[in-house]
Amino acid sequence: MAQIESRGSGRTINTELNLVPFIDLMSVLITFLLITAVWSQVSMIQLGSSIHAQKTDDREPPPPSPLADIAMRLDVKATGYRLIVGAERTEFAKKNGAYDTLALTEKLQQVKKKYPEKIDTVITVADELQYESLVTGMDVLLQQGFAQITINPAEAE
Amino acid sequence: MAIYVPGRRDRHNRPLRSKVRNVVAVLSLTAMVDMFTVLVVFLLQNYQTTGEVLELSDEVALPRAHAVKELRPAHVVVVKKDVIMLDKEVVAPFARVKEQAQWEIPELVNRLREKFAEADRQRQAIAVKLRDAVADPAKASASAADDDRRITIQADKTIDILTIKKIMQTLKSAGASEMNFAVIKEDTAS
Repeated sequence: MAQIESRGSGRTINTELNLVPFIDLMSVLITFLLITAVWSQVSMIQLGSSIHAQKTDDREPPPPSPLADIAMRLDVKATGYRLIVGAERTEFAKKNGAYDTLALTEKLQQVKKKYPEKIDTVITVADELQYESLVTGMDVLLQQGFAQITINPAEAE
Repeated sequence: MAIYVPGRRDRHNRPLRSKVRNVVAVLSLTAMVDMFTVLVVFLLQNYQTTGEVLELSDEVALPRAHAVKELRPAHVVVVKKDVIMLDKEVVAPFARVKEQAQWEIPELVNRLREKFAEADRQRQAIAVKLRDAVADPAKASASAADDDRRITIQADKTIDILTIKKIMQTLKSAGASEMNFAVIKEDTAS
């Protein structure tokens, strides 16, 4: 058991710390935390303004975001990404069979620097691609601060 | 801190020698207490107050993402490789939805509309009871309606986009207020 031994003026004082309640408390706490622990880090990515579809309720649409007039769209195609900002089109071909997210990230950083207030964007994904491609594309956009993502169900030409 | 051999000692603090040998075994608890403390701190850091909102299935491999938000309670549409489910109830077989030409899935729309209507009825019943307690009933009611119509899509990462688009179109037609994709959080460092 933990003990503190101190020698004062010739008299030895032996103080023992009682660790039993502490260990009891720790055991109960650890058991509780282990039982209630959620090990998988499941989270969500949020669609900023949903998908292009017909209006279904009577509520007023949300006000447009700043710089909404500057068209911005990310096309996820089988061959790679295509980013359209205004009249500028940039293609990012696949590298070794994988999407070039690094190049896209750099380009998006430039766009964000140019239009810091712009947060809305549209994403299109080719029908034959996998769901993972959509999530990856959205993730890159969200990481660069484009939080209002609209999914356009139509395929890019 | 000095460590002394346990046992009786003389006035010079020297161990007393006796004919009968006393054996006193003392457990060193310091290491265990240290380990417990580290474990408790680690578990408390990972403790989630919201609990488990989604039930994960081995048949659904979720995609990974960095820019994520915390899951909120919502209706869950699970898209497996064989069936489409809404709140743990099978709604439609996946193969048929994949092959169908129309974008709306009738069974899913009907089931969702029933759920939304039921949620609206329950909310109105509660609102009547709590009318006096709520400062701005209209605003509170609209906010609660949005909460009831929130949908989380839990789809396998290999599902084709066209089927996901059909499901999203169906959710929109049914009146879903917010759609979220369930993902596995990926650390930024990795």
